[in-house]
Amino acid sequence: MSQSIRTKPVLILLQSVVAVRRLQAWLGLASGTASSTVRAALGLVAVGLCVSLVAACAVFRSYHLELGQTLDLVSAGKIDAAIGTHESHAGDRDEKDLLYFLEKGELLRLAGRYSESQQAWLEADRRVAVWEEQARLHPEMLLRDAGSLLVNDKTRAYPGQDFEKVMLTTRIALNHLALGEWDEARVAIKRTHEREALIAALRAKQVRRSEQAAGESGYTRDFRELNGYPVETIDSPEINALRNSYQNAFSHYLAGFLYEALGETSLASAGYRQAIELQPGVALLEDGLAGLDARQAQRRKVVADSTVRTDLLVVVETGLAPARRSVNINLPIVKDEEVFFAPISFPVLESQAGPAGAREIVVGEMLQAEGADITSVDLMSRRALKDEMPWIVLRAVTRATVKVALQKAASEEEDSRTARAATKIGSIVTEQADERAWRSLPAEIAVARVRVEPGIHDIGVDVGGMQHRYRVNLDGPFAVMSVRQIGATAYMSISPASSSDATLQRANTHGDGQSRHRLEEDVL
Amino acid sequence: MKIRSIRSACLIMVIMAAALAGGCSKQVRYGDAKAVETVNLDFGSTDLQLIAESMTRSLLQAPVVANGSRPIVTVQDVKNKTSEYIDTRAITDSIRAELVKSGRVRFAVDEVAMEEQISELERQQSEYYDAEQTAEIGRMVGAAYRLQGSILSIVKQNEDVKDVYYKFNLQLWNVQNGLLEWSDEKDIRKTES
Amino acid sequence: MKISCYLLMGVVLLAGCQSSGEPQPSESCPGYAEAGSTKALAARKVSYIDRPDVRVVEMRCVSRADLLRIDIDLKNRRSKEQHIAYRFDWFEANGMSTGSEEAWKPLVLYPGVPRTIRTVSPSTDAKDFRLLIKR
Repeated sequence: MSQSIRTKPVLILLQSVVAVRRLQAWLGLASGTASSTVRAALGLVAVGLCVSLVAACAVFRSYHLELGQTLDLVSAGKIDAAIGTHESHAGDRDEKDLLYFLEKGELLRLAGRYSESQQAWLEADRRVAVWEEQARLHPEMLLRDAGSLLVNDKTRAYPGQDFEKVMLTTRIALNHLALGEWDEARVAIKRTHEREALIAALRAKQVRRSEQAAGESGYTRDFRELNGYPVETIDSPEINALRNSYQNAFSHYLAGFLYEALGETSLASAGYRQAIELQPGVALLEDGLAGLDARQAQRRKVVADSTVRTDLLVVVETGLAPARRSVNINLPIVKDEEVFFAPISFPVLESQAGPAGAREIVVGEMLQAEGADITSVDLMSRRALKDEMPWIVLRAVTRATVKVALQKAASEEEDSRTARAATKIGSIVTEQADERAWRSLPAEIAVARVRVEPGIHDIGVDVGGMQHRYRVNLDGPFAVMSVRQIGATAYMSISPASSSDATLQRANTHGDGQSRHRLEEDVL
Repeated sequence: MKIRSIRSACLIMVIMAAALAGGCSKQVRYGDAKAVETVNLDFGSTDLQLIAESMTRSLLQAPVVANGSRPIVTVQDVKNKTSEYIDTRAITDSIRAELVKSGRVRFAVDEVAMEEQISELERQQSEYYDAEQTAEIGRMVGAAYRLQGSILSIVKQNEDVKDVYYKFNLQLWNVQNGLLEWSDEKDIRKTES
Repeated sequence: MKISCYLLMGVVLLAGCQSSGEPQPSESCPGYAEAGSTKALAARKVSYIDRPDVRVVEMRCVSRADLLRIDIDLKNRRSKEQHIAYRFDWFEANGMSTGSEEAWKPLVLYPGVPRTIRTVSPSTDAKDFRLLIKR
């Protein structure tokens, strides 16, 4: 980084302070005309501040650490213990929030407890639906609530990231498939693209509004100017290549596959087409659309024939979504021609990606297909933070300004000891960036598609040098198998064979990895 | 002056809270199912109804239908060439329903309903049914004509304007000789600014 | 008014060239005999909702293969673009309504230019119609 860029942050932040000042001047004018309202407002806010500070003590535990313990158990294959840990961490919280249900659903899915997982996720989905409704009625809410302008992002109920909301219904669909409920999966997948469209509309509105606001205030927000922030974690060509943070090719490809399985070609083609648009140049995605009519025609020919080959979609998920960690950066704030430094926290992403390398699907002894990476939650999460960064910076500057003002007030008025104490506590305790994120999501999602004869197969999934083998019973024209590798452990789920209850899932482990799965007795 | 900055932040909070509290009372009403819907640019109910109606009326005037011979038609896919999730079967279902009501066209079972048709036919072949009234296998009537089509869209946008153009095309093919007996198009343009 | 006069004159002139005995397209519309003129017929057949600033200037009907084909010319009386919606209701010869409810069809009218809306009856039973125009 060049020297000129390094000196720029101070300038930028000075500009932002000026912008905040201008806003204050405007508000001051307003208070002159309606002072009683302002006094009432101040009272309200004072109460609000106290409440936030008290609440803060309960909330300010490190989510990062808590979930880290749970996920360590998951990667060690101790899924039941992980669920127990997750419950015990949540146990003393009064209100279980969106995040609790998101993580719980994922853990239960890994454990193969799909019905319970569905319950948790549907609970999460209800909370997202409330958000959707509010966002539709009050788009201004999306400009990030004012609540954390003063205190801390963590005191807000977890609103969920856009991509997490889209992933939620996608994963609900995967659960339905694991339960053999194809029609219910269709409902979930339909909600996925409807939700995506809603988010797109809301975000478009938000971008327009924020551009207006930026134009009026003359405030330049650029996180790249933050001295000491690891800019490269959220600013790279791959991150910028994403169309946005919430659309992903996997959800659309799964939609295409599901609609194709249900014989709804017109919807299937839209799913495949959108997947291609989001992730261009992937042969697997292009074959999905190009071969759609041919596959349908072939299936029609053998409509009464039971020896139709099974179109097996293998979903290979690796790693964990990146963790958010709080880092403190000293922001220079100019107050009465003096420069003060206020420590302000910013979230930084830490990668939890799985091993790199090919994902290979082996049926019997033959290599059948190579998985194509089509969705990276890791990148989406980075993009989401990048898009959010201007607001985080704006809030940080506002908070820093308030803090400096409070500290100055406290130091000048010797007699108000309590105030001083309070502000000190405020500046220490309240500074911690929001570390919350749906961490048990996979970092990378790859898919492969193979056509195999119906019957019992040994299917091997090789992920970055680790091999997992499963014995599965396939019949019917379509099946979905999902393998999730976390650490050295792999978790598997498969849509049950329609004709029999003799669903065999038997795992052998090769190499260092251990495989965990729904283990049912071999009934043959 | 010292509390100016706090005051400003507080005011923002209060304003936002007021904004959230206000306008919360949303009313639910039943509307006109056939009203012109312009909520957004996506393919919507009005587009579906316009296409179905326009195609039905046009098809009724096609010579093979207008001659009163009550041709037997089967409905095939309408290909979705847009990147929107449009269920084109909803459109063809509407067209079929209107055509059947006109009394001028008959429909043979299509590919989608074939599985159910066969399973019901086979089910009736059991000893529990009165042989006199059982549907016989091998008596289904094949269609003389088939309907197929496509829908495509052209979407353009800049910062201020978004424009969507849909083109729906439907064709009636003679199954025996492969002749195109009728074809028509409906185009729809929508602009949001 | 002027345009409709010219139109009528044109129709009359054209009719002169046609073989005798065929009724005029405007005279073939159901109810024309009772109404006596296109204007009177339009007053009976056309309902306006929310006062759109348009008028029906001509109606033509023809029966082909037992279906009633209808052309209606609309004129925008404003000096700027007008967005309206229209739909037809259909009736059997005995006055019973027939066919399912039609969709409202959006239409853009440019100033000063007449625009023809076309339709055909949904079934052979439909012998009469009513046009609804909404702003």
